This record gives sequence, C-alpha cells and structure tokens, in this order.
Amino acid sequence: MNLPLYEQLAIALTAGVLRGAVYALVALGIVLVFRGSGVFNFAQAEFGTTGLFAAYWALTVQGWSYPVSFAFGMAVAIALGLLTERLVIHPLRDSSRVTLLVGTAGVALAAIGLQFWLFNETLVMSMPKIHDGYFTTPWGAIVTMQELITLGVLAGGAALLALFFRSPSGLAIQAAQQERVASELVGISVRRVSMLTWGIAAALGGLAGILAGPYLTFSAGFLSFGAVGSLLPGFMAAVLAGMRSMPGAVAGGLLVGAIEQLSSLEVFAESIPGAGAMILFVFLLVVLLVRPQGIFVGRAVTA
Amino acid sequence: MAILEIKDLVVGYGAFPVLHGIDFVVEEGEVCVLLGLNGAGKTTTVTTIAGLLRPTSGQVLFEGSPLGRKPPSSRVKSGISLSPEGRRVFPRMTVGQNLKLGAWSQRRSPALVKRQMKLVLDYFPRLAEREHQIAGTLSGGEQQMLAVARAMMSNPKLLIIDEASLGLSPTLARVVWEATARIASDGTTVLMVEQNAGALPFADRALVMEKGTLIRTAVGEDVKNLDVRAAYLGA
Amino acid sequence: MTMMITRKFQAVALAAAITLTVPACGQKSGVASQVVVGGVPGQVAADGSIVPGTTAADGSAVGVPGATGGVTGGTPTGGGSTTGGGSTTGGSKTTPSGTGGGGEAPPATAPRSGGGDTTGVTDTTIKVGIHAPVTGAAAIPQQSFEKAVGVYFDMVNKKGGINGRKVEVKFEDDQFRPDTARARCKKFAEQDKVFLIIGGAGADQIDACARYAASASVPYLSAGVHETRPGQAPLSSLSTYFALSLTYEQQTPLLARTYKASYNGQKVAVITADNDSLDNFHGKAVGAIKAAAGSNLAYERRIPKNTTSDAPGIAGEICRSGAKAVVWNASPSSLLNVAKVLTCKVGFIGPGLTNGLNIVAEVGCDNIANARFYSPFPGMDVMRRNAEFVNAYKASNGGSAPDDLGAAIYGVESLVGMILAATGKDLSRESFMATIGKVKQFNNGIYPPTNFSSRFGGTAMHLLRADCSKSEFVTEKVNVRP
Ligand SMILES: Nc1ncnc2c1ncn2[C@@H]1O[C@H](COP(=O)(O)OP(=O)(O)OP(=O)(O)O)[C@@H](O)[C@H]1O
Ligand SMILES: [Mg+2]
Repeated sequence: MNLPLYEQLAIALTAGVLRGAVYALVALGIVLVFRGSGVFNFAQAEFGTTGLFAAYWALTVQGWSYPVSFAFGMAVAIALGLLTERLVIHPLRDSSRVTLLVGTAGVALAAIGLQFWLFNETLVMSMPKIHDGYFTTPWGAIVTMQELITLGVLAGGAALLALFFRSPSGLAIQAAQQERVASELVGISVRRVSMLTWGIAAALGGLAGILAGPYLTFSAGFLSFGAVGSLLPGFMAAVLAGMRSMPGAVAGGLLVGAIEQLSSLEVFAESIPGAGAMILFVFLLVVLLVRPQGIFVGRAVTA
Repeated sequence: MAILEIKDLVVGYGAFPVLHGIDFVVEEGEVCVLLGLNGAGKTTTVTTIAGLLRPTSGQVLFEGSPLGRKPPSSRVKSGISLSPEGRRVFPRMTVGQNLKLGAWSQRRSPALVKRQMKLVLDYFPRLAEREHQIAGTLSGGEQQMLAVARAMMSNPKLLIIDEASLGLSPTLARVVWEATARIASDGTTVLMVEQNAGALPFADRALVMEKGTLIRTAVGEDVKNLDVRAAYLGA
Repeated sequence: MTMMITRKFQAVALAAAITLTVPACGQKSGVASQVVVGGVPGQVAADGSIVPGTTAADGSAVGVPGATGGVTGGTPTGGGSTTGGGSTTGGSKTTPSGTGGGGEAPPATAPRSGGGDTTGVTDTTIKVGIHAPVTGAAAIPQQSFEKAVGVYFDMVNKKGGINGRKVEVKFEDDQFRPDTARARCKKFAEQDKVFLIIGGAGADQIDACARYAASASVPYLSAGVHETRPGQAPLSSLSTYFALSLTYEQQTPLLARTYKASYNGQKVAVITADNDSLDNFHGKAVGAIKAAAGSNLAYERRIPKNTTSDAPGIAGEICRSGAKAVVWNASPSSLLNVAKVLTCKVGFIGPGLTNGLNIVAEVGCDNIANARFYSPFPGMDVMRRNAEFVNAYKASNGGSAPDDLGAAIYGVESLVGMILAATGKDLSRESFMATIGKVKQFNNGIYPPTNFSSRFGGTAMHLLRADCSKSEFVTEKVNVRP
C-alpha cells in the first residue's frame, strides 16, 4: 500500500495537528504556571491523568452520566492543582527554581503512585468517547469526532483565556506575575492569584486528560509518558513559545504534534523505531540554536 | 486627631530586631517627612504600616483603631497607600494599566476610578502624554511619578512615599515633591520617607531615625529650624 | 480426572541419567546428547528437533557430574544448604511445604540419584523457581501472578507431595525485562539452588532466562514462544529448554487455517511486534497467509513493542488497506490501543498467551469482538468447571475466585508436576529431562497433550474467541492441531 508522499504528508499533518491539540492544552498550562510562579511544572500532565482517572471512576465504576463524570474529573484535576499550590508551591515560594521543579516532579510521581495504588486491579483502562463518530477527509486521513471536539475545546479555551487576560482579573494575574510586592500594595491578593493560576492550569491539564483519555487505552502516567505522552511535547511547545506567549503555546503545540507525526511517513516508520521523538528533538535543537528565545514569542503583554 | 499612630513598634527580620520600639503620630492633612541614614529602619517602618511586615510587638493605629494583622489589601481599602521604595511599577504594562491597577481596591466603583485617573494625570501631566507607553521603558523620574500616581489611584487618606527623590535630579525631585505638596493640600495626608533634606521645606512634621529608634521630632516652625546634619549625627 | 499419564512410567536407567538431553522418541537410544555450558548452536536442526546423531558427532558429550561443576552438588545434596527452605525472598511466595524433616534429614537419607545432578532435591523437598512479570507488564494486574503462583503445588503438597517430596516454590518478579529475568534466574540457580525453573509469561523474559538456565544446566520449562532470535542460538539448541505448548512459528498454519475458515476471499493484514525474536514468526506468518490469501494479503507491518502514539497511524493503515482480518502478534496493550482507534471492523487472529486474557476482552470489547486467539490453556468458561483447579485456587487464596492467569500458571505447574511425578523417586536433572523425552505424552487436561519429539513439545492449541456479550474469551475449540 504505497500512498504518494504528498498524501502521506497530508495524512500525517492532519493526525499531527489533532494530537497537537492535546499538547497545546498542556503547553498552555505550562506557560501559565511559568509566568505565574516561575516554575517548570512537571506535574502539568498528571493533573490531566488524575482528572481522567477520576472521570473514569465516576463513569464506569459509579455509573454517573458523562457530563457529571466529566465535571467530576475536572473538579479533581483542579483540586489537585490547588493542592499543589498550597502544599508545594506556596511553602517553597522562596526556594530556588530547582527546588520548585523537584517539588512539581514530586507531585507528578505522587499522582502516578496514587493512580497505581487506587487502580491496581484495572491496570489498563478504557473510556468511551463523547461522540463515537468519525469521518475520512478527502486526502484519506481519518478524523474522529473526539479529536475534533478536543481541537474545538482548545480553540474555545484559548479564546476564553485571551478574553480573561484582558479582563481586570486577568490583568491582576499579570500584575502579580510582574511585580509581587506592588501587587500586594495595590490590594491584589498574590496568594489568591497564585491559586487562580494553578487552578486554571490544572483545568487545562484536566481538559487535555479527559478529552485525550478516550483516544486510546490508558494507565497510570497516561498523559505524562503513557499512550498520549504530552509532558515533553508540551514543554517543547512551551519553549517554542518562549515560555511566555499563550498564542505561542497553542501554535507550538500544534506544530510539535505535526512534526512528531512526520515519523509515520513510510520513509521513517519501519526503518527507524521511535522516529517521532528523534525528529522532534532534532527540530527543537535546531530551533534553540537558531532562535534561542523561541519562535512563537508574541508580545508578553496581552492587553 | 492623629490619622496614624505608632506605639512602641518593634519589628525585625527573623530573630534580628531592626526597629527597637518607636512611637510617633501623623496628624490628618499634614505632610510628614521621615529622615534617616541608610539602614536606619525607615523602609521597615513604612512597610510595616502598609502590612507587608508583621511587627514583633507594638501597634499601628489608623484613624484611631489598631490595624492588627490586617493584610495589605484591606489596609489599602481602608485608605493607606504606599508608593514603595524602588518604584516597582509593573514593567510590561502600559502607564494606563499601571494606574488602573493602582485602583484595584476600588474596582467596584468605576466612577471613583475615573475621577482619580483624571486627578492623578492632572498632578502628573507627563504621565498623561505617555498613557500608552510600556512602564518599563519610562525614565527613572517618570517611573517615580508613576509609582506615586499609582498609589494615589486608590484615593487614599494616607499616602506613604518611600524615597521619591532617590536617583532623581534635583529638579525632577522638586517636581515630585511639589506634586506631593499639591496632593496634601487637596486633603490627603502624606508620609514621606527621605534621605534628602531638600524635602523638609514641604513638611509640617519631621522625624529623624537612627539605628531603629526615633531620635528627633520637629513640628511646624521647628521643622525649618531642624539642623539635619546635627540630627544625622545624633546631636 | 484431569491428571492422566498416558504412558506408564519406567524407572530411569543409569544410561538415561548420563543422557543429558532428551533423545528423540523413536530414535535409537543410548546415544548421549550433550550438555555443554552455554549450549552449542548448530548441533540442532533449525526446526527444533533434536538429532542425537549430530550431537554425538560433536564428540564432546560429557558425563554430567563433572560437566556441571559448581552448580551440581554431586550426589546427595546434604541436609544443609538446599533444604533450608525457610528463607523466602522478599515478596515472593513460598509454598508451605513442611520441610522441617528435610532440614534435619541426615545426609545418609538423601535421595539416591544414580549419580545425576540433584541440586534442589532432598528426600522430602523439590525446590522450583518461577519467574513472571508481576510488575511492568501493562494489562496484567499485579495480584494475579501473586495469587496464581504455587496454587498447584500447594494442592499437591497437601496430598503428600510428589513421590513423597513437597514442592517448594521460589517466585520472582522479572519486571517484564529480559535483563531482570536473567538476573532472577541466576539467583534461582546460584542462591536458591532450585531444581528447575518455570517461565510464567513474557516471550523475551522466557528467552533470556532459558538461555541462562541452559548455561547453568538448570531445566527450564515454559509455554511455547518464539523459536529463534537473530544472532543467537535457536531455543531448540538449548540443552535444558522445553516448550510445553506450540511455538508461535508452529501456530502459523493454524492462523492461516482460521483465516480461510472465517474470512476466505477477504483482505487480510499481518501485524507483528518488532521484537527481533518475532522476525522468524513474522516471515512464516506472512508466508502462510500469502499462501492462503494470495493477493488478498493487503498489508503487513511490524509495530513498536509498546504501541501507543503510533496506534492511530497503524489503525488508519489497516482500515485503508481494506483488511477484514488481522493476524496479530504483539502485546495486548498494543492490541487494545490499535483496536480502540480502528474506524473499521476487523477480526483479529493470533497466537494467544496474553492476548487471550480476559482483561483484554474486558477493556477491548467491542473493538475486539470475535477476536480469535490460540492459547495453551482454555478459557475460563472451561476452567471454571475444573473443580480441582477452582478448589485449589480458592484454598491458596482465601476463597477468591480464580482468574485466567491463575489457570495459565496452574496449567504449567501441573504439567511440570506430572513430569516430576513421572520421573519417580530417583529424581535428578538428568532423569527429569530424560523422562520428558521418554514419556510420549503428558496430558493434564488443561494444556493440550505434549509430545516431545523435539524441544517444542506442543501438539495443539485451544482456540479462544472474544465474546463481548460476556466480556470474556470463550473456548471455541480445544486441542486444535496444526
Ligand atoms: N529582608 C531583610 N532581611 C534582613 N535584614 C533586613 C531586611 N531588610 C532590611 N534589613 C535590615 O534592616 C535594617 C533597616 O533597613 P531599612 O530598609 O528599613 O532601612 P532604610 O532606613 O530604609 O535604609 P535606606 O535609606 O538605605 O533605604 C538594615 O540594617 C537592613 O540591613
Ligand atoms: Mg529604605
């Protein structure tokens, strides 16, 4: 079955952008937290897996309806984000960045451990899609409704975030990011802003997890290193965005997804196992050499 | 009636006390200047008043009632506003956004915010020209003006300015002090921290600090007679 | 009665004890095969049949006790080291075997072994090592293995053991990693001094451990996996290795036949994991399917050992190829992922072991509806009716109901138990391995009957079908011969 190269390319890019939507959601959270707390949040993807596990539990164990289960998963993800802020980020706020980084990695490991522990009996899980439909594009790529929904949620979420950052509360978040002391002095509760930031980031992670979970089967660590491993791609996208730009994170996520899928071209697919990761790393390396500040670095001020 | 009353205030960083029990008052409507050498404890005093530091012991009373452990946000809401040492403008926001954020505590009364905006741009016309400029790109003097203007945006009863003149040319320092004097004459009480004795002509009250204690207080006419050098030498 | 030895067992002759590997049935006996540490490739036919003649030609046939050197305890393994028994490695499960007497047994009462290697055997105990992926293998719950191992031997021990000896089981987690498996088996041989080793699951781990076991002259038994691995001696050349069921390669005619029976004239794809140990299988499977389907072989591909992010691409290609059947030999987690993203209906066909586990049906239905896998043990629909098994499992696990992994391990253990029993009181590694060759058929009623005319003793498989109305695999046919 030898498709012409351009068709293979079109199929790969379609699949890449769809998967990139998940990376973009994760990258948005990473950028948000980095701007807010100056932390490389290694727990970002695990907010998603934890939310997914919660949604799975609600749906298949408790038998709650899909919307309720989804909401429950989101609530658990957000709770984990807030808990991370309270128990790790806030107490360590005056520590070095490395300490904080280790702290978030610890949260990720704890979350994975918890997932293992609570779901030891069912190591591989599967959750129904929101919509089972799919269609074939004229160039032969298969697009599932679930992937399309994720892409839509990304678009909607990014637009909402942009609007939010133009609102007074969004302005306050940015103020706290830029000048903590002055923010306190004008009456912004930096603490509350930090909670808000982590809450939103965790919500983005939760969306990524609960939407991507039904793509494939999942197990502990799903969104970090599992079937839809998004932590490294998410970080790559964030780096492409200079760790600051939100539109950049979205563009970066989609691009990383697309580039990773180039590995499915016949030239690579069978000759180089794990070609995806390799292509991606080469790409990132080149970007960092040519433009160390990233390529999707928008204006830092959004309003 | 004293708008601000400091009673036996002891403040420290960790185990080391920096303020060793100071007492003073600031009367409503006046301009009070707090003088002292580097490290005397001036900034420590005003950040404690603003609520960023917790006193070890002693009290800060505002309009007669103790502020206790109130956080900065509620202090600014009740009328204490600090323009901090080092200006601390929001560097990647415009002048206009900085000012808007200054009124964060009053964001539920848009009419007031509008009025204050007009007022501070009137005090500092140079900021009006630069409303859309990114604050980080302003000159030092402009940033200082912005810091004071931002502190005024909450319509405070007590405006505290920590070293407005620092790093400014004598002319520019005068511009800021004059604006401050106008603010005071419009009814806002002002507490200015200064090392520069050039601020004294604008003051109704002068306090001199040394090594964490208040060594001299002068009120009214005495301010003009205050021998600053002697004060600094502890004479 | 599930246990039945079809041929009456004869006491092992001294000649058999010297015979180090199994002479092919029906071939002239008395020719010594060799046991050389590390095994000698090339002396054994590629298909795994053991040709004593060729081995003899090597001329290097060595008498046992000397050849096995340090590992062998010579004759009587004194009461000391091997019968200690009590020490259990962390997390492993030791079948309570009441070795008390053994520990105190004076050397004088040690088994008469006719000069063979009796490591791990005392008058009252036989020590057996089992390794399995307790952790690391996605899709298999941890407790399943822990509960499964030792069930059969527990039961046997309660009935007085095998020829008066209680079986003491040492169990190790190989973490689903070949290097770990090798290390665990080394521990079995050197520290625990087990008599034999059983591979619970995992082709690459079985491969790694089997090679080590051969180098240490420890008999090694497992369900059939692959036959060859590029750059390494074929498993059939390992002097102590025995596959208790059909190898993957041997199953390829079954796969082709199943395709023909159910999907004749329709397009078919062959998907195999890219482990090099499956190279040979893949070639044979493609060959067999091509012979059966001709130009209807629409797509063939090797996929990553653990397919996750590649799953949508692979699924897309399967659907684009128009295949209605997919011959599948890759990990269950890969199967579940690919099945989940399939946008077309296909029937999976493949060799069994783990793909036929009910967890796959539980998670994978309806995407894998009617998938057919060839398994060495029957589905739980059959095993639940096996009262001896169910009772033994419950007795060992506080009353909890058995799962299919329990059946799998029970099947291997009972087959090994039968061979041990058939070997008789004079138990040595030589007599044990000789028995495998001599007794034509072992049939425990769980595994298909064996016939060791080569290292690969399988004769048939059970065909399981994913029944999504029950969310489990049901037994469609037992003992299907290639
Ligand atoms: N965060 C801190 N930790 C420890 N010691 C501090 C801290 N901040 C200030 N100090 C010490 O407290 C003392 C008073 O400092 P403070 O900033 O109040 O002085 P100041 O009068 O404002 O001086 P300047 O005119 O230089 O601004 C100094 O000795 C200073 O070193
Ligand atoms: Mg100071």
